[in-house]
Order: sequence, then C-alpha cells, then structure tokens
Amino acid sequence: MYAELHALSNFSFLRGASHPEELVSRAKSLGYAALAITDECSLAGIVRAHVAAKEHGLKLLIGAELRCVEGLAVVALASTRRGYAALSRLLSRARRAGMKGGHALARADLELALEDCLLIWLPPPGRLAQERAQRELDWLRERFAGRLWIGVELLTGGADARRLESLQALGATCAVPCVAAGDVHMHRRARRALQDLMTAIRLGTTVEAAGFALFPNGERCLRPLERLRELYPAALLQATLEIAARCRFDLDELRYEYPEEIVPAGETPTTHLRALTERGCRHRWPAGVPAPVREAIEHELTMIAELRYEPFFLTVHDVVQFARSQGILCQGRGSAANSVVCYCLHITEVDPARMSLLFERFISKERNEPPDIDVDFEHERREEVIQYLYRKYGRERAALAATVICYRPRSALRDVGKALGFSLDEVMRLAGNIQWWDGQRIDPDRVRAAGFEPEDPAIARLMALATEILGFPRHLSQHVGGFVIARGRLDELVPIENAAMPDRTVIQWDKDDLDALGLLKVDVLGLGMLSAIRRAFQLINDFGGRAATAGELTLATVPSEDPRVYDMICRADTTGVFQIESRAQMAMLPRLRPRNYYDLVIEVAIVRPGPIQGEMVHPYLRRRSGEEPVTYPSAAVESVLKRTLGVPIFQEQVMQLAIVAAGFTPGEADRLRRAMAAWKRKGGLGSFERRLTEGMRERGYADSFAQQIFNQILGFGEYGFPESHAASFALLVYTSAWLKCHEPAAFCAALINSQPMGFYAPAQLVRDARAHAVCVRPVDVTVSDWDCTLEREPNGRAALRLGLRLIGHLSQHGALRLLAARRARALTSITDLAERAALDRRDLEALAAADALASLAGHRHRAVWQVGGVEPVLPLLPAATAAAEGIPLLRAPREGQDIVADYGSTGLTLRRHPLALLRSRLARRGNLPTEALWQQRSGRRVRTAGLVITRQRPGSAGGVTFVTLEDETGYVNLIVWERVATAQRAALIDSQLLEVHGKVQREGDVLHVIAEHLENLSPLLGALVVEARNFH
Amino acid sequence: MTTGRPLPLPVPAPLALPASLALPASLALPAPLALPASLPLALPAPLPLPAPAPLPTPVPVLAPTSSAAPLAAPRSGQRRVPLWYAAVFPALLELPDPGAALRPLIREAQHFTSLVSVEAPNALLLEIRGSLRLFGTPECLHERIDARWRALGLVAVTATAPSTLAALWSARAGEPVVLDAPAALSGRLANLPIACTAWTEERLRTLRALGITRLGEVLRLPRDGLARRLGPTALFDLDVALARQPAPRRAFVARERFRARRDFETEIDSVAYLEQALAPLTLRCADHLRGSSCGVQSLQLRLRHRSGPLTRVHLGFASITSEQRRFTEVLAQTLTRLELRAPVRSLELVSGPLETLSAASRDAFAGSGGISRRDTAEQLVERLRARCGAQAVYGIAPVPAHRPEAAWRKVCEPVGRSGAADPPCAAPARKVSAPITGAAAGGMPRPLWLLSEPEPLPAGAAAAAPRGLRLEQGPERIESGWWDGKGVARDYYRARRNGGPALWVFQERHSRRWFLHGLFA
Repeated sequence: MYAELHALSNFSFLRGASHPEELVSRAKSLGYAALAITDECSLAGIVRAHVAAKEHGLKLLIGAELRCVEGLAVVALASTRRGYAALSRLLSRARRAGMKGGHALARADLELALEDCLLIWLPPPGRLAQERAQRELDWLRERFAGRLWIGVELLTGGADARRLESLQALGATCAVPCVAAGDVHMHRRARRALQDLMTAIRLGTTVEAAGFALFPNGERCLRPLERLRELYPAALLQATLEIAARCRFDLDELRYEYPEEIVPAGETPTTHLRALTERGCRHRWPAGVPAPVREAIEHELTMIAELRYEPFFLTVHDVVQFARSQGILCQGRGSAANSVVCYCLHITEVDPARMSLLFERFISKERNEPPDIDVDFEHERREEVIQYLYRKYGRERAALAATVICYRPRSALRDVGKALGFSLDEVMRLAGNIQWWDGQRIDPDRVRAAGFEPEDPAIARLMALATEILGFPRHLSQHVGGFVIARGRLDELVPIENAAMPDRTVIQWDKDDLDALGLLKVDVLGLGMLSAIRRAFQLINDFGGRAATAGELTLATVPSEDPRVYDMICRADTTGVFQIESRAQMAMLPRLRPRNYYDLVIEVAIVRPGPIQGEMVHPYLRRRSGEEPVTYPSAAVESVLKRTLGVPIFQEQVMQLAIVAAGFTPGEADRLRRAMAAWKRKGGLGSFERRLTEGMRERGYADSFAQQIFNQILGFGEYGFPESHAASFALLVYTSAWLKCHEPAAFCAALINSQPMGFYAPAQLVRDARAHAVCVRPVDVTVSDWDCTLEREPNGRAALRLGLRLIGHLSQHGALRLLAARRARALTSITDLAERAALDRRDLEALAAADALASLAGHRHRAVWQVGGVEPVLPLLPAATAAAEGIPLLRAPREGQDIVADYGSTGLTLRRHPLALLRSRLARRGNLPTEALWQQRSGRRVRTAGLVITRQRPGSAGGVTFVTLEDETGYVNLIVWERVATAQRAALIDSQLLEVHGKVQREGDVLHVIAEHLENLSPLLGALVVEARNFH
Repeated sequence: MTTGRPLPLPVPAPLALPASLALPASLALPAPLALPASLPLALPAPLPLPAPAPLPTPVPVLAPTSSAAPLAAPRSGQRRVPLWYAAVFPALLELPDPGAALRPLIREAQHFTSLVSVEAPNALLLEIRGSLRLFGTPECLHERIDARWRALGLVAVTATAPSTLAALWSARAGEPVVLDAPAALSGRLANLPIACTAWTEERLRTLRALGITRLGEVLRLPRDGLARRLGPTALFDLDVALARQPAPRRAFVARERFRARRDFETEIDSVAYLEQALAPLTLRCADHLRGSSCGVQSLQLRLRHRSGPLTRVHLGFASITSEQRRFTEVLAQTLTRLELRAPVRSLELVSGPLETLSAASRDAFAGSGGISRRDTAEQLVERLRARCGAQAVYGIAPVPAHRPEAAWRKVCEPVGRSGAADPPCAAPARKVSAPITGAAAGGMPRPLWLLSEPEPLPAGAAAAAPRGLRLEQGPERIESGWWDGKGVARDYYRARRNGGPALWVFQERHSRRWFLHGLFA
C-alpha cells in the first residue's frame, strides 16, 4: 500500500496538469491509501480535493511544496489544525512578499513557522552533490527532527539505483528516514503532452524550444502500485503510510469558526437574533403579528439555532444596518434571504404575506448547506460597505474571496498556439475569430473561417490540447464581492495573497470553496438598479408635489399591487424597468401577462437560459392560458409544482423533484445542484441521470417524465435561477415599474444618472420618456446640474433637464468648477464662464460641441468660434481679457449638422431622429418605417432599416442573434439565424445603420422580423456615430 | 564601456531582437561617454567617399546643372510670377511605397521643366513658367503634360495655377483649372472643400465644428481670429495659395547614391545589435539597387555618436553587387572586428556610386584572382557551398532536447566564431554527442556515436533484454517529442555483448521491441 505525499494539481499554475478532483479519483481507483495535494506555495486547490476525497472515501493530506530562494525544497504536510494554521500563515507570508501570483520564501521563514507540520525534504535533482545535500539535511534535521523524512523520488531518469543508494546512505548517516514520493504533476501519463505544454507556456517559449525544461518522460503521474513496488524498497513505501497516519487534520474542522463581536456582551447568538427579530416584528406589524407569521418565525428560529446559523443572519443584519444608516439602498436575496426572519431584520422587503415562502425550501437540516444571503447595494456606494467591513473586522480577518480565472476558448487557443510554435499572427487570427458568442467550445468551422484546416495534424493537435486545457485554472483574481470573515486570524484559515489592485488582498479560495466548507461569507454586490431607485426616490421626494398623505417614498412605501403598473407591464412598455426590459422579456410579457407579484417572480425566472433550454416556457404559457390542462403525475409532484402550474421553473423545484419523485436524499439533491452548475465545464452528470431515471421508474413515473426532468436539469446548468433570487428581484421589478408608470421623469433622470447600467443607452431612455409625455430639456450651461434634474413645468408636472454628465469629453472637475461659479453668480458670457470656472480649452470645446452654451453664445457654430478665442487663463495675469473680437458671419447649423453633433457629444438628440432625415432615401430603397411593419401580415417579406441599438447572442438561443433596430417611428427586433449571421457576419457586426430584408413574424402583440439579408447602410449616416450595446 | 574599462569584446551572436527596433531600455547608457586614453584606436580607416559620378540623366529639356537645388524664387532683376502645374496620382495611394512609384514619373516630368518638386505622398509640382517659351500657352503646356500621363496609362488629376498650393489644392479637389492670373485665385479657391488642404485632422475638425466646409468660408473669417484658432501656419498656407506669399520649392534631384539613415531612441552600444539594426537598411539598399538594375562595389557605414566625429566603416566588395546577402556577410565580418568608440545614436548607410550591373559581375566567383584576397575558413565554406550546394556543408551544434535524435542540429554558420572552431564535417550519420551533463543531469551517460537510424535488435528469450546482450545500466525513460509527430517513448539501457563494446540500446514502450541506437567509445 502506498500514500502519495507529493502531488501538484493544476492549482500550481502552469505546472500541474490535472484537476485536484482527477488526482483524487485516480488515486482512489489505483488503490492508494491516501493522497497529499501539495501545490506550490498554495492551498487554492485543496477544497476541491477535499470535496472529491470525501465523495470517493479517500484520505486527503493537506500540504504544500515549499521552495526557498536558497534552493532548499520541502513538502510540508499539516498534521493538525495547528499545523494547518502554521502552514497557511507561512504561505500567506511568502505570497504577500512576492509579486502578484508569485511568492518569495526564505529558508529563515521555515524556522519557527511550521509547528505540527511533517516535512519531506526534496533533495536537489541530478547527481547528488554530497556536500550540499548534507548541509541542507543537517539544517533541516536540527529544526525538524522527528518529523522529517528524505523524499526519494525515482522517476526512471537512468540513475535511479544510484540515487536511491546515495539517499539511503545519507539517511543512515544522518538518522533521517527515507520515504517514497512521486513528484506527481498529472493524474495519468496521458496528460504528458499537456504538462509539456504548460511548461512551455510558463516559460513563454514553445515546446520545441523548451528543451530540458520539459520533463524527459511521463513518470510524474500517479503510478500503479505494482510499478511502485518494482521501483521502491518496501520500507520506503511503508513509510508513506506512517506519515499519512500521522496527519490527522481534516478540512471539515474549519467549520463553525464564526466571528464573535456580532453578539453584544451577555447575549448568545441565539438570544440576540431572537431579540432583533422581535424588534423587527413590532416594526413590521405594529398592530400585532399574525398567527401564521408568528408560527413561521418560531419555526425558522428553531431551525437556525439547530444548525448554528445565527452568525450568518447577524452578520448580514449588521452590514445591512450599516448601509441603512448611511442611506445606501440595499436588498438581500438568496436562499435564506426570503425568510420571515430576514424580513424582520430588514434584510429584504419581500413581505412573506405576498407569497408562500417555505423556509425549508431554502434551508434544510439535512442538506447541511450554509445559508446563502447575497446583499445587493447601490453599485456606486458598494465600496463604502466594503470599507466598513474592513474597519469592523480588520484586514487580518476579512478579505475578498478569489475568483479562479480559467482557460476559456480564446485564451486557450492563444496560449496553446504560441506554445506549439504558431506565429503570433496565426494565433491572433485564430483567437480573434473566436467571438464572444461562440460559447464554451472551439468550433471547427470557426477555425476553418480563420483560414486553417482543422484536419491538419498541427491544427488538430492545437485543437485537442486547447480543448483539454479549457477550464484549467490560470490565476486567481478577486471576486466582485464575496467577503469571508474569520473568527481568528484569516491567514490561519486560508492563505492570503496580493491582488492586482494595490492594497487589496485576496484569499486563495473562491466562493464554491467557502460554500463547500460552510464558512461564513457575505456577498456584498453592486446593483445599478438600486442606485437608480434610490436616486428616483430622492428626486421625487425633493421635488415634492406628492399627496401629503403619501409621505416619503421608500422601498417599503411604494404602493403595492397597483393594477396600472401591471397594465403597463402587460403592454411590454418596460424600457428601463429592472430585469424585464430586455428584448426576450418584452416578448414574453404580453404572453405571460403578469397580474401580481408572484407572476413577476415567475417572469423573472422563466426568461432565462435554463427554463428556455429545458423547454419549460411554452408548456407553462399554454397551461396559464388554459390551452392545456394542468395535471400532475402524482400528489407528491403536485406539492412541488403547484405554484408553477406543474412546470418546474425554479432551481429549488428541480431539487425537490429529485427528492420526492426519485428518492434522492437532500444531500444528494444538493450535490446534484452543484453538479448542475459545473457540468458544462466538467461533465459528470451521467451518474445522476441513471439515479434519477431509476428512482422515478421505481416510483412509477413514466420514463418520458424522468427524461424531461433530466433535460431540464441540463438546461438549468449554470443558469438555473433560484426562486429565492427571483423573489427579491421581482420586488425591484415592481418598484422600478411603479416609478416608470407614475414618475417617468424622475425614473428616466435616475437611470441616466446611474449609467452605465441596464439594457438601454440614454438615447433610448430619453426617447421613451418623451414618448410618455415627459418634457425633456436640453443640456444648458446656465441651468443644468451635473446630474439630470427635475424642473417644474407650468402645469406643475416634472420636466427632465439633462445634466452635464451626458457631455462627452467634459471633465467632472471642470463641470464642478462651472457649477460653483454659477452658484456664486449667474454666468454672463463665455469669457465670464471660462474665467470664473477656470475651464480649459478642452472643457469649453466639449460644452460648445454639446450645444450647452446656446443661452450664452447663440448657435453651435458661434459657440465654437467664441470658445476658440478664449485665451488660457494665466495665474499671474488675471483679467487679461482677450481683445474683444467681433463674431464673424457663421452660418447656423443645419438640422442634420446639429443632429450629428448632438450624437457626437451627448449620444442623443432632442431634435428629430436621424432617420427622419434619411427617410426619403430609405423609402426609395423600399424600406418601411418600423411602425408600418405592424400593418403587415405575418409571413410578408419586408425591408426595413434602423440604427442598431443592441445585439444579443444568448448562449441558450441556439446560435440566434437578436438585433434591435431603431428608427424615428419606433423599434423592431430582428431574429438572425445562425446561417444568416455566419453568411453576413460583417454586416451584422459592423453596421450602425442596418438594412434588413426579411419576413414579418407576428404573434399577438409581439412582432419580429426574421432576417434573410443584411446590408450595412452606415455610410448614409455620414459622420453620425451610434454605438450599439452588445450582450451575451 | 562608458568609463575607463577596456571595451568588451563584441557579443558573438546577436540576441533575438524584437522586429521593430525598439531597443530595450537596458541599452541606454547612463553616463556621457569618455573615451579611454589608453584605448587603441582600432577603427577602420575612414574612407572619403569617391567623387560623385556624373548623373545618367534622361533627356531633359533643361537639365539640372548641379546637385545644388535650384530655387524657384524670383531671379534677380525681373520679377516673374511662377506658374505651377500640379498632378495628383490617386492610384499611387494603394501602393505600399508611393514614393518609389513616383520616381519614374519625376523623370517624365523633367521632360517639361527642370523644377519638379515632390509633394508626398502622391503628387508632383512642376514650375512651368520657364518652359512656356518652348511650349506656348499655359493651357497648351498643361494639356501636353496631361497627355503624357494619359500616354503612360496613368490617371492624374491636375491643375495649373500661379501658386503651388492653389494648383495642388485644386488638383486634390478635382478642379481641372488652368489659371494664370493671381487676381482670380481667391474666386477660384472659394469653392474648394477644406479637406483638399490636407491640413491636420484636428484643424479640419475645428473648421467643421464652425460649420465650415469650403475654403471661401475660411477666407471670410477675420485673420487674427483665424490665427488664434487654427494657428499661424494656416494663414501662411492661405497666403501662399493666394500667391500673396512666395513659397520656394526645392527641386528634385535624382539620387546617384543610395543613402538611408536610421535614428535610435536608445543608444546602441553593442555591435551585435548594430548588425540587427542594419538589416532593414541593407535590405532597402538591395531593393533600391535591384530596382535600378545597379550594383555597388562599396558601401560606407557612418555611425553617429553623441559627440565626437563619425565612425566610418568601409565595406568593399570583390565585385559589383546588389545582393543583400553579400552586404550582410561582409558587414558581419567587418563588424566583428569593430570596436565601438562610443555608443551609437544613429547610423547611415551610404552606397558608393551606382554602377550598372553587368552579367559578369553577378558571378562572385568568376575570374581567377577575384576571391583570393583573404582566404579564410568562412570563405572556404562559402566556396564549398557554392560548389557543392548549400545543404552539403554544415556544422553541428548541440540542442537541448530529450530525444537523442533531436539533441543536435546542423548549423549553416561555421561554428565557433568566438570559441574553438569545429571543423565542418560532412558525414551526417555521425555526430559528436553534446556534453550530456546539462540534460539528464545525474542520469546515464550518453554515447559519442549515434546511429542515424536506430537498428532493430532481435528480442531475447524473456523479452527482458535483447538476445545476447546484458543490460548494465538503466533504464532511462525518454518520452518526448509528441509535438512534431515524431514522439518517442523508450527505455534506454547501457548494454554489452560479452566482452564487446558498450552499446546504447532501447526498448520501445509500446511495441516492446529492442533497438540499438549508439555505441560508447
């Protein structure tokens, strides 16, 4: 028997050529007694290995390969929690001392830093230099006697016998035992090519030129036991087992290490959470808590206490409390967020009375899964929250989780291509042709399109290796907002390393790792819509004019379930509304016709790649409209699917189905959920498929039903949307829709002020507001603020004044000085403006180009002339007013010139739509205005043209590209099938003004044009530049 | 080398240099140069350029009398308004080197006037006032020149006007005007679009932002205001165009030598880098020579330093040549012996007088005494190669690779310019094994003699060893080379046939077959 004590995974970036899971499963199948994952100065892959080891029932040892700058190399294995802490601390120190992604370790660092760790000395490679080896070993023996071994790694280099002999002799003289080890870099020999390749990538060379940097053979894999028995004396193999036996540390010991200060003195987490919940209850239900709610609270609290999850709730409560005190809008979501307790703690505003929230759906005893609470904050103020966390817990205890950056098709092709000796030009051509919409695989047709032959051996090699390296981790980056908070020193929990941003540190584990270990983490995320909603509230509250009884507008006081809001949503009049503003959502709204809050929850979740690929959308719509009877295969299934009319739409439902219909344990269902998220990258759903079909068959369900459920699981993949998230999002959908319906000017202003966010650019938002009878006024240097603001119209309604922020090339500092100057005294002239606001030429030109100086200088051309005459203000020569110049005869801009200039500066115009000017030319080409398309029969061939507003290529849509065109009469959505998109890629990608020939497709209130031919008409626009937004 | 230390030897081989000659910052010299007093001046003797050869002129109506550029400024005495003919060749813009394509057209133009001026990238300006005596009216001459382009199958947009810019702008704008009176200029220019000025994009953008699209609108603007917004050069251009301001032009003089210069942002202090940096220049020189069917017998390299005189390096050739290969070979040899006096800021390659390349002179080995000036090993190799073919003569060098058969390579350059010169050997089946210590350090020794192809060995009884052989040491497992389709997976052993020499054998991992691959000396 044997335990491998020295194995690198691919988390030793560009060294190890196997995933930790692969190493574990291979070690198990070879019959190893244990496996140590010892990545180079890293524990980044350890959690994955841990999860896999638990699954396979293999003993996992945790350690790291340490290489000192002096040349000394050892493997350190943690034998206890203390040893683990010491190791983690040492790795943190080495990582922090190095550059990003690197590390620096000195021999002196090892001293005193590795208590409770077992050390395996890795003698220098090659013919043993007796003296140096002796010195290294002596140094180690003085410090680590009793827990030190000589690692004998026999890798068939031609002199194995001699090396074994000399190491054994050395061990005998120094009284240090020898132990066998394998310097494992891959789980199978078949990874040899990939391993060579990674060496070449690491060294920035080609495999051919890498020479002796490559390993001479593939022996650094997990070798079968019989082979090891041939190579090593039995005693050396036996020693591996002794070491394995001495390592008693298990990563699961890290669980429940929660911070303490979230509980005031004299309280326990349980009592404190109860107290906070009770206080919240009184606030939420001043008239008394209804009995079912009371019951739910008791139930939830009991369960939370049993699972010892109070710290999660208390920590999130603390963060939310801080945000509220700062006026930062926030809202929780995630499995645990939609509980009555969270409602009481003000973590979410989803009133449990609005929907039947089954707490068990989100948090269950058996599942042993930590509660998941993400909190969205206003995207522009998230940093304040992050800084608060750092302040409160200190940088030694709080840090951002990592995101493992993995190879994707483009990077894989680039790196592999270079390492295989393709020229930079060829590599760029190949990688450049992998566009953002080609998904997660390398498509031979694309390779051919780049001018390469996929059958050519060199290309085939490149493709095969690039595919193999897909999903390999490449480096660690920082997660957007996943915070981990430790009870003690964080660096004793997980190594910390430098992030790319200065003064930012990141731990070596990502969110999944933290999840798997049940460690406390809080997701502090930024959400643009929250910024917009908070701004809209503020604009409305400041503007006044609301009925006095209505009081101040907040998330909680927005009137609920307003039928006018739902009417608007049913019309798909939702530009700017959170989540349901996309083309796909808009197409769904008239069909789904949401009439209440829960309908919105479904709407949010159903237009997702998961349900779409799982083919759940149409059955649900048919059942909802009564075209199809609502039936359930059994009462058990009915209990799970009743609220979605028998069609599984949410991630939780799929898991519950697996439990009630296929007999999964909750733990298995949870593993299924994780596997669902990862199968696209890793595969491995096969066993679940068998288990699911068999389980369902046993319980008397039809195979077709089982297959359907499994397909839905596949479809959910990475995009499965949990009901708990949808519930929180739906609240923001309703709130933003309410604002759009009742306060369109404020809503539009708030959206523009929160850019960049959402689906539409300011041009479309402004257009939409004007279509809803909002008076929009142009940017004007004498009245505009930085942000868009509200002005009172004669009839008392709010008009929208565009802000200076829309002006391209205007510096914010310049604008602020301008506003200060204006506050002091009204601006009288351009010279006055330039002087008092100390604006430079660039800012002045930006203002002139935006036509914002009209009230000071007249038309745009005059403004440009005057601005051009302003001499730079010299600090020593104040009031050196430029010699008064006359204004020459300059023609006023023509309408077209103004429109082009408007777009060029602010990206939008309040004048006519540019296509209005081109209409006669477009009409001559046979193009209909988009409005006129509605008069066409379905199936009719038409031509139309418009500015390209968005291009969208959802991964779920089977290669379809959706394009939205805009003209002076409205919008039209195009469906471009893959065949057409491929044939006319250039027109599709490059056009600003696109002409399409195609067929009208109408379904009720939804109209599409199925594109057959595309033509780039951008030259007609002249100098007009319109930027489309691309989504995928 | 900036201080009193002796100069280092030239680096033996140029390091890989990025293709664009952005030199690494490490080449920058920290301190001003000081020439060590003790330094032996080993510079090649500076050779003065030979006197300029007479220009093989075509048959110009008025041949240039000297290489000094004649100016079109008014001659002493009578004030004559010059008359300019501009021709723009739009098609040239499609070419990679419009300047080169323009050169023959200059010769054509010189049939009509001595003063032909090039307006980069694709236009010519001809001063034709002086030629009117021979050709008649401006219209007449204009038409004759136009006809010349037509005859050559060229599309040219042309204009004639009493100022350079008026002619040029009109031509660029496609206004086929022939105009002699300066007074009419402003009227004719007013309609031209501003883009025809070829002013900077920034200036044109400013004008467009003012709503201005035609020159007339520019001319209407107040001068001082215009100068403030567009800069004084715009006013100057306008004045030139309106013939209010004379604008002398330099006439084109055909080049009788090749001359190209290259400046460096960072100083170069290594000869090896110099060699790299010169490559584009020699290439251009060769191209130029080939284009004009000429060759040279000498080149001069001028190295400019921060201070002090130029370093001139003379390169002589045995015969008239235009081959870049020969340039670089001689350069390489010469530079090897060059010791840089100071870092180089810029270098210039100047050819000797161009000479027509005769068929005979193309043969470098023709004649009896042509090559024997310095009969070095390099030249011997050169000659052998010329005689036996370039493939037949090569040196060998070790390559760091695990596969024995890939661990050496043929080299074209004679080995060891710096170290011991290995005699080139002509037997490809044999090789001197590289010192193995670097490769499989601590592994088995490798034999000196390697078979060109591994020789199959009969399997032994137990398949554990080939028949009749005793395995002495091993195995050394080599699995490598998958990337070129010739991957191997073998276990190598040192073996011996009773009492015989030590053999290097291997067993193929997949087929389990045995092969002999080498002999230990």
